This record gives sequence, structure tokens and C-alpha cells, in this order.
Amino acid sequence: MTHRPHLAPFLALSARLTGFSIVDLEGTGLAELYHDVVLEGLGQDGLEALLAVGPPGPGGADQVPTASQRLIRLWYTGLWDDSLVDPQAYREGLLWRAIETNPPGSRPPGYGTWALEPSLCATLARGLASLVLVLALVLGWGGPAAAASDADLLRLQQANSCSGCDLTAAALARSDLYGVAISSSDLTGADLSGSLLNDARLVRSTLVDVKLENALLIGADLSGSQLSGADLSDSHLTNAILRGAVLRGAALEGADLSSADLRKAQLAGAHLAGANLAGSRLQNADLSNADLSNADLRHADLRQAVLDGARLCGADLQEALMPDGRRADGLTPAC
Amino acid sequence: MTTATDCLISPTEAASRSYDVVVVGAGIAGSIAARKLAEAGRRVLVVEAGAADNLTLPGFQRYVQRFYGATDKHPNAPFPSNPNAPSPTDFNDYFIEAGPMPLGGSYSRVLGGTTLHWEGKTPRMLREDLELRSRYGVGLDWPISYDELIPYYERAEYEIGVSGDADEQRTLGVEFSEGYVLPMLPMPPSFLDETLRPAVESLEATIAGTTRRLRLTTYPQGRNGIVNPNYRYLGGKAGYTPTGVVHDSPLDFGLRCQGNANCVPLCPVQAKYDARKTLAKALSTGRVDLLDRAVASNLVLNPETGRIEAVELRRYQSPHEADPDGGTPFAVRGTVVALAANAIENARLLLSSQLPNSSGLIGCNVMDHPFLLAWALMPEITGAMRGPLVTSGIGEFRQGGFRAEQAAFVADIHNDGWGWATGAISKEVDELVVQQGLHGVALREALGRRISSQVLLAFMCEIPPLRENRVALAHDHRDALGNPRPEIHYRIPDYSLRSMVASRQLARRIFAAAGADDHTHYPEGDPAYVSLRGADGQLLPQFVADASPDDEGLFYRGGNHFSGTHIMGASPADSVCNSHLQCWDHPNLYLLGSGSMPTIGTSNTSLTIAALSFRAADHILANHSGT
Amino acid sequence: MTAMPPSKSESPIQSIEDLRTYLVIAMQIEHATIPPYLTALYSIRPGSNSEAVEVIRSVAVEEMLHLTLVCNVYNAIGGTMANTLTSSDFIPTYPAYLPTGEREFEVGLRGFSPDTIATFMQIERMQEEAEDVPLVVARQHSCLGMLPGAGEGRQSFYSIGLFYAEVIRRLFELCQELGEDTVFCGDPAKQISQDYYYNGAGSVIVVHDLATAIQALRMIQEQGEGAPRGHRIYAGSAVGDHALAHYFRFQQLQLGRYYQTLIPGSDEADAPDAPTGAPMNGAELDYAAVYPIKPDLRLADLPEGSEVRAKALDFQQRYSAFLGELERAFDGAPQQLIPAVGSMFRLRSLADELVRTPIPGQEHLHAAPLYTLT
Repeated sequence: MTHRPHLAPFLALSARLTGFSIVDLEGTGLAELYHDVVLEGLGQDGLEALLAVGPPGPGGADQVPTASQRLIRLWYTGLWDDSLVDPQAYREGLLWRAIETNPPGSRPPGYGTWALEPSLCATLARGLASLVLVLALVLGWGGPAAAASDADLLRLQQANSCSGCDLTAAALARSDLYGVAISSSDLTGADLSGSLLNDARLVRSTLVDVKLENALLIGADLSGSQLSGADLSDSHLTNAILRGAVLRGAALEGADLSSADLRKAQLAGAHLAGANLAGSRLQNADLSNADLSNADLRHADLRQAVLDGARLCGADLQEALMPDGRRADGLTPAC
Repeated sequence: MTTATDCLISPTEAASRSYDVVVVGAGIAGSIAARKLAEAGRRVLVVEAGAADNLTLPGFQRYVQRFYGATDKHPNAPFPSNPNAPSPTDFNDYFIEAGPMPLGGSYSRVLGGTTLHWEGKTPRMLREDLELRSRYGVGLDWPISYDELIPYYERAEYEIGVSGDADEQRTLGVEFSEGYVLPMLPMPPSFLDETLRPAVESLEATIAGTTRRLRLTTYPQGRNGIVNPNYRYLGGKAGYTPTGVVHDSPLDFGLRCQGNANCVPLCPVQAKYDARKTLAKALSTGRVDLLDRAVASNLVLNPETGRIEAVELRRYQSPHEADPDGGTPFAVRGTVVALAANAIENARLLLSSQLPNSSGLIGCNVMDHPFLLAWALMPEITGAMRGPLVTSGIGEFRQGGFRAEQAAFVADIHNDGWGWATGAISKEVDELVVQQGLHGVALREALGRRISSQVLLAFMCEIPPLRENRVALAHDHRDALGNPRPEIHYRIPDYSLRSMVASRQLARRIFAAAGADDHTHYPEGDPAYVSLRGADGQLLPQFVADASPDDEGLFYRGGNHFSGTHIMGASPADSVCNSHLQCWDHPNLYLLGSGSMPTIGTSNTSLTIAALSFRAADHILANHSGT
Repeated sequence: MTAMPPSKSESPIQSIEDLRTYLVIAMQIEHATIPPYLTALYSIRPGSNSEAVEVIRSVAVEEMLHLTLVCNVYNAIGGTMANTLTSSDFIPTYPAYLPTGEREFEVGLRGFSPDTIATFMQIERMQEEAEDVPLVVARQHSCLGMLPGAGEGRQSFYSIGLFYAEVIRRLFELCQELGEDTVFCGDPAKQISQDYYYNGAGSVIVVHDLATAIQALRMIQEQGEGAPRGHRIYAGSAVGDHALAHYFRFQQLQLGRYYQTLIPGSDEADAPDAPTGAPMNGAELDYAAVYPIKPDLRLADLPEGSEVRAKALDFQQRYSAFLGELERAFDGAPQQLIPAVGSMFRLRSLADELVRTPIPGQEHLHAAPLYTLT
């Protein structure tokens, strides 16, 4: 194997200059080739001088590119001076990753995907500044040592998923968490108010004291999650899947839970006054002592649900299936 | 079933056989004719200037790899640079441009022809495109009516495999038979198209007194998409099966566009139609021989009968280097000879053969669709560099009375950023890295914002036939086989320039309506620069109506729709061939391709080329018997 | 293992609910071969082995078709997709065992090599039998039983093909017992048709009754093992369908020769094991042009805190998310297949990066895509 003593600092410098991590650069499969190209282009002395210098200062118009600018260009386009160094260098150009498209002629994204919103929009909306934190961690730059939960937050933001994460008290108000997949994580006290959580999966997680006011949770799956004391008032939980979720004492006043799947949910003592539970599935749910006053329970399925001590005054039970399997016979007395 | 590679033949063998038809050129025109004739039982020889190395998947993959490794990704980047059969690329030196304006443009002398690198749009022509002279006093009339073309368009759309919306096309004045749908559903419009739509559809435009509201409509395209369950070929059984990759063994690939965004110069998965798909079917009949690496240099005429007796050609060894012997001469014979080498090469061959040329029109009336480009940055990221290069366009000015005054045009929304106008995308990187000194995350973000919000509008304008626009032979400039290169005399008339100027204004208005930042700039040093001002610095009078007061000039780019060099017509006095593409002077010579088209309207030519090839093949079968 | 003479009452599939359970197992089986195929595919260096890439890719894509067909049958008989593809035991831990005969054999996540090709052939192994033996063995001669992991005394079907044979049998019998309409009670809107599923246009079968269900399941059997009658190397018995069965596609790589699916001048195809087509270009099949990925990579193989571990985890999470998108698409939102396919392509890019990245501390081995957390 060829001996490349400068490969590690070469990659570290390349990472700083390009804004991608060392592993990202290794993932191109071209690290060694580029090292060799630069070595040949600058000579041994030139390469060592380059590695000794930090990131370049600002250039001016019509300037001849500095050595570090030529290096950036190589990683981004595969061009050294004016020649493409290898066919793979075209396909692995960081340019394509930066703009989140495929290099034309390779790595196709799939039929019809050009009609969808570009993924770059979400990336830029989340902000690339957080990447600086990752690079700092990896390269040992100065900067505050990051807590474990910050790394998890980062992972959540980059990958839209997190398993076994520590997200306690995470500040995620009004976040775009569409389709996020969070499992077995701790979100105690997290602020998700006003967030977009459509089709999100927040399963088997602790959501105690989580703030979900005005959150959109259409189609969200909170199966097996612990939401005791959570405030979901005025949240949109239409079609949400809360099967087996623990929502004891949760504040769900006025929440839209129409067609929600709340089978086996633990809703004892939950505050559901005025909530919309039309068409929802509540089989085997525990609603003991829950406040369902003025709730809309039309076509709800409450077979085998526990309603001991539940407040049902003013609730609309037309066509609902009651715990004993009977169809309800209409409105209950007003409160 | 014969494999494609089984059909390759040596020149000695080809010279010793006697064919029903010799087809010169294995592009779309030649491959369709070969298929139709072979399926009807004729013995066909296809002679191709390029090498047949792309008949199998590994060979095609080499083209893909060559493309990846090319520093300059121009329209011919995937193909060998072949001194024995050189191809023009943009403004390279293959054409000898005698001016006053350069023709420029690209075509590909490879197996499959220019359909290897074409973008793939397949719009039909309009009825009035064939009646330009009688309706508007401009250009020429075709010797056939649109009604006669319709059934051939259906065959062409089936052969190519067109994805599109016939009903939407009908609203643009395109005609189809009753209830007809295209084989596959339209390519979905891009996110950029949909972002631009409100701006475009809020505007009206006026061209020579005709005012119309603008709309975005999708383009029919020759690339594989979702099969239309209601499609019936020629009214027969329902259904359509797309054709994928060309290979000797069956391979399940290339059956749907995957968004490689590389239509030009090569679709790496072969979801885009190219003529090899038709050629492979022709070869599988077992009645077609293929002689590759053979460039036709002369047609041998029998002056008594007026028949073409033989095609002389030169066979070279390798497409990668000049043949050391200047090619080995051979001659092949066929009862019928069909030229399908493209409009410029057909003309070159006809002129080199020093045929009588009674009409005097061989090489004359050369046309192309020049493009006016305008480009801007959208206020939001719209995802440039995704999907087929063009999915939607504006077709309101393809037809109408204004054509008595100035040219019809269509506008394309380009999904692939500014590249066509400003050059390689690496320049964007240079701008940010070298000019602005950006690096790290800041560079990443800036690149994303800058490139992904790029929009380019390309306005394709019609040029009417003009005799003085012509191809001649440059006897002092020869290629490696000793064939003279084409000398081009070309000028875009004011009739078309006025519409190009009007297009520039329309682009300004569209960008303004979309909140986009217009970055269009036409440097004077560009080879295709046209000044709009006279010596006194004032706007030339013919442009005042359409220009904005600050306009200096513009540049155009070639559309690669080379046409008109051997037009069809109603009589031998004013045309080279009849409506069946049969040469008036030589009854066994057929001139396939867009060289025979007297006008080109606002339609990319390939679909019409295909339709005319089917029609010519029918005529050959009916009028020349086989052995 | 002794063959049991089971009767209908002893079939492990009794009710429609059981049938649905078995179809979920079928989903697991069809999916289980995809990570091994993809891992081998991604391990090939770009630009090399283009024919091998084509063969493996085409088989992997057909497995996805099989998965889709199973889901169509499942939906047609009223199964609910929720928690099928996304259940925590959907993806096996590799090396995994597939029900292929008396001797279980394991399939791992390995790079492209002659051994890997041989393993792939075993997965798709056709059943060899003499001419006078029925092609689908009568029930009393096949080994029935629960599949691995479902109970003790691991018995298994002789082949995946026979597994489907039992499913088809019970489907047929249940229709007789309960009526076709009762069995096929699913929502037709959930069927995936060729509008959204492609790659083999016309191959997706919309299932709405016994005939179409059997058609779908037979397609899975035949594409894997070969047609039961006519030309054995074909993937289907329909006239004009000349695609090769998977087993024979892989065998081409092993023997270095293409099969002729139609010998020129005749209606014949090559006999099994004796391809007479063009040789695969010797220089193309280059087993050295392969990244040295660590076989059967586990999360524990990647050092804690390393970035490559984070990337591998990222792949695993995205792959799970992708299965979730597929599940949603199969659960009444077929248009979701378009973005799901987009996710699949993005996974490809991430996988490509992983196979090029050396594992810190094990410099001669590279990482690979990670499919499970175990």
C-alpha cells in the first residue's frame, strides 16, 4: 500500500475548506486520488505549505486561485486546473451534494421526484450552521463542548429520525418535523408547540409534560408513548394513531382527534372537554374519570372501553358503539 | 432471433451482395426505413459512418463512462472524437462558416445518430406550418396536407414511444384523430414549472398585433413514462410496452425515466428513445446487414437511366484515430438507395456526387431553429438540475396571422439551470470560491442557494426557407477520409430576429412577474452575437417595435434542427424530391430526413422526420419490387 | 426430517387470519433477500462488472416486485398493512436463515464474490424432479411446518416455492369453504398497479379475486425458480415472456456465459445448466474490483462516537423510514411510491459512501449499509 503520511491532515484541511466532514470525504472513495493529484500538482513543498496554512482569506475579482482554492475546486468539481482527474470525480463532486441533486447522468432520484419540493429547501431552512457544531466536535476545534442531547438534536434535524435519543426539554417549537421517526426516546418537557408533526412517529417515547399546543399531528403515531400530563389542547390529531399511548391526565380540551386510533390508550383522567373524537377508535381504551363533556363522539367505537366515572354530559354519541357493544341512542343530557 | 451483432458485415461481403435497399445512415430516419422495409421482406443494407460499438450494453456503458470522464460535457462528449466522420459541436471547426451569421449547432455521426444526444421533444407540426405560403405569404407550402401526415404521426409516436397529453396539445392547435391518446402519460411538470406557472399565466403578450394570454403546457417527449391504459396503436388492441435498453439478451431496464437530468448528451439508462431501439428491431428480422465505420463519399449515377447504380464509400478502422490509409474504398449496390445521413450530410453527399441537380436547390434553403436564451434567479429555491431537461413550455405563439409579419416561436422552461447560456456549472463554483473567497459551510450554503434557484427560458424561433441559406462544399477543407467539409452560408432574417427580440422582452416580463432577478447578458464577443443597433448607435428600425430602448444586441444558439437542404415540393422545377421523398431526378433515390422539409414551424423535427420515413418506406414498397 | 402426511386440518394455515399471517411472513421472506443482493451490488466498484451489476440489480428489483405482489394479495384478503414492514422483527439479523430445505443455509450481507453468487443461486434454487413427478408436490410429500423463529423443532418448507404452494392451496380451500367474496374483502383502492410501480411494465398484478391472487403468487414462484413447464429457464410460462428466472440469471455469472432464451432459427431455449449464448466478457467480471466491506456488519463493529458509526446508523434509520413509506404506500396511498422511490435512491448514495469508508481501527475493512440495530 502506498505510503501517504500527509493523508490525515490533508483530509482534515479538506474538511474545513469544503464544509463537509472527513467521513463525507472518505465516502467519495477519492481521498487518496485527490491527495496524489495535489501532491503532483504542488510538489512536496507546496503540499506541506498548504497543510500548514489555515482556511484562506477572502479573494478578489480575477484573482489567480490560491492553492487552497484549487483544493476546494478539486473536491467540488473533480477538476484540477482545467482537467477532470477521473470519471468518478465527476460523479462524486461535492457540488452535487451541496445542491442536493444528482450529478447529471448518474444516481437518478426516481421518476416524478422532480415534481416534489427540493430537499434543499428543508436543509437550508433547518440551517447549515448546526453543521459547524458537528465539524467542531469531529475536528476538535475550539467551541463549547456539546452535551449529548445536542448531538441527538442534531441527528434529529439531519436525519429526521432519532432512536433512543435524549431530547429532554428540547426547544422545537414551530419546527418542521413532518414524518419524523422518533422511537424509544425521552422528550420530557420538550416544546413541540405549533410544530408540524404530520405522519410523525413518536412511538414508545416519554412525552410527559411535552408541549404540543397548536401542533399538527395529522396521521401521527404516538403508539406506546407516555403522554401523562401532556398538554395537547387545541392540537390537530386527526387520524392520529395513539394506540396504547399513555395519556393519563393529558390536557386534550378541544383537540381534534377525529378518526384517531386510540385503541388501548390510557386516557384515565384525561381532559377531553369539547374534543372532537368523531369516528375515533377507542376500543379497550381506559377513559375512567376522563372529562368528555361536550365532546363529539359520533361514530366513535368505544367497545370494551372503560368509562367509569367519565363525564359525558353534552357529549354527542350518535351512532357511537358503547362498551357493551350496543349502539348509543343519541345525545346525553346537557351539563 | 438474430442478435444485433450477428448482422455486422464486412465491406467485401457487402460489396458482393445485391440489396433491395441501401440505407445510408443509421439514425432515426434510416432505422425506421430499414425496419419497415425488412419487416415487409426486403433485403436491406444499412451503411453507418459511426462504429457499431454501442449496439450492446457494455458498449453503451463505455459511452456513459466516457461522458463521466469528459472535462467538457458538450453534446458530443460521450462519443469518440472521430476524425474519419467528424461531427459539429456548437461552434467547433467542423462547419466552415461563410456567414454572415454562424449556423453552429451539433449533430452526432454515430450509430443511432443524433437521437443518442437529442433532448427528446416530439411535438407534431401544425396544419398551417404546411401552408405557410398560401396563408401568410411567407416561406413555402408542403406538397402534402396535414391530414395525410396524421396516420404517419401515429406510427412515429408508437415507434419512438411518446409520453404526453394529446388533449392538452389539442388546446394548442395540434391535431390528432378523434379520441387519440399518446402511448404514455405526460412527464410530470417540474417543481420549477409549477412555481413559475402563476407568473406566466398572469401575462398576456402581443406579437405583431396578436394578443394572447400565456399558459404553461407540458411537452410530448420521446422518453418512457407511465403507460396510458387507453392507448390503442392504430385503433387496434389496447396497451403499450415501452422499449428499454438495447442489448442482445433481454434486460429489464430503461423502462421509465428516472430523472438522470442528462437527456443531452446521453440518457444513461436508455429511457430516452434513440434510433438503436428501432435498428435493433430491424436487425432482428435477419434481413438487414449492417456495415459500420463506412462513410459514403459518392453516388454513382447511370446518366441514361437516371438511376443511382452504386454508393461508393470509404471504410476506416477505428473511430479514435485518423485511418492511416485514408479509408479503404468499396462500393455497394441496391435497387433503391435511401439517404438518411442528416440534412447537412445528405446535401454534402449529393453535392460531392455532382449530380445534375435540375432544380438547383440541393443544399439550398438550409434552416434551423435558433434559440434566444434568457436566464434569472428565482426568489426561492426551485430545484434546478432535476428531471428531464424541459417538462413544460409556452406554446401560444405557434400559429396565427402574425406570422405574415414575424416568426412563430415557443418557449421552453429549462430545468437544468443556466448551463446552456453561461457554460459549465464549475464556473459557479469558481465564482464563489475564487472570486468571492468563500469556503466551508458558507460555500455549501451559497452554492445551494445560487444554483438551485436558477431558471433559464429558451425561445425557439422559426426560420423560413431562404435560397441563399445553403450548404456548399469546402474543397480546401477535408476530413481524414478526404471528404470535403460543409461550407455554410447562413443568415437569420429579420422576420425571425424580430420574434427573438420580442422573446427577450417577454422573458423580462415573466421574470418580473415571478419576482426573479434577471441575469441575462449577451457579451459582444460571442460568435453568435447579433447587434440590434446600426452604425449610428440607434436601434435598427425593424426592431424598434419589439425591443426595449436599452437593448444592445443578443446572441442565439443553434437548435440542431438542420433542415431544408433538399426540399420536397409539387414540381421538379422548385424542389428536389416529391412528397414521398423520392428524388425527382433519380427515381430510385430517396432523401430521408429533415432535409426534405420545406418549412419547420415550431416543432422539433424528429417526430416529423420519423413520420416522413414511414411514408417514404410505404412508397418504396409500393413502387420498387424486391428480389 | 421425516415427511409428515398432513391433512387440511393439520395445515398451519387454518383461517383467513392465519393466511394473512403467512402473507406477512411472505413479505419478510421476499424482503429478506433484498439487503444481501443490494450489499453485493453496492460493493462493486463503479464502472466495473457492468453485466453483474445488471443481473443483480434486476433480481433485486424483481424481489421488490414480489414484495409488492404479496402486499397486493394481502390487501385483497383484508390484511392491514400497519406494522407489517415496520415491525421490529421485519428485517432479520444477518446472517439469516431462509426456509430452503432440510438443511438450513444462511444468507449474509457480503461483498460480490463467487461464493456470494453461489449463495444467491441457492436462494433461488429450483426444485429438481424427474419428469413423472408432479411439479408442485402433493401435500403429503412436502414438509410443512412453522418457519424458523416461530417455534421449536424447526421444520421448514423445502423451498420458497413450496411455501407459496401451501398459501395457494389454502386460499383455494378457504374460498370454497367461505366463498370468494368473503375471502377477498379488501379495499381495491389499496392495490398497487403499474401506474405507480414500474420496472417490468405490466408485471404488477392487481389482485381482486382468486384467479388474480394465484397469478400473483405464481409469478413470484416462477420468477425465482423457473417455469414449471415449457422452457425451464424462463421466468414465466406466458407465451412471449422470455425473461430468465433468477436462478439462471445468477448462473450466467457463475458460468461466464449468457443463456440463449431463444436459439436462432428455432423455438427452443437453452437447457438448464447449459448456456450457449455469448460469453460474458471476461474482463468485465472482475472480482477484485470490489470494495473490501466487512461481512455481516453489526453496529457493534463500528467504534462508538465515530462518524462512520453515525452514518451507518443514519442509513439504518433512513431504511426503516423507507419501509415506513412503503408501508404507507401499500396501505392506501399508492402515490406515495414516488417519494418512496426517491428515498430508495438516496439510500443508494448513502450506501455507496459507506462501502468506501474504512472502519477506524480495522483499516483493511470498509463499512457497509446497516439494516438493523442488532
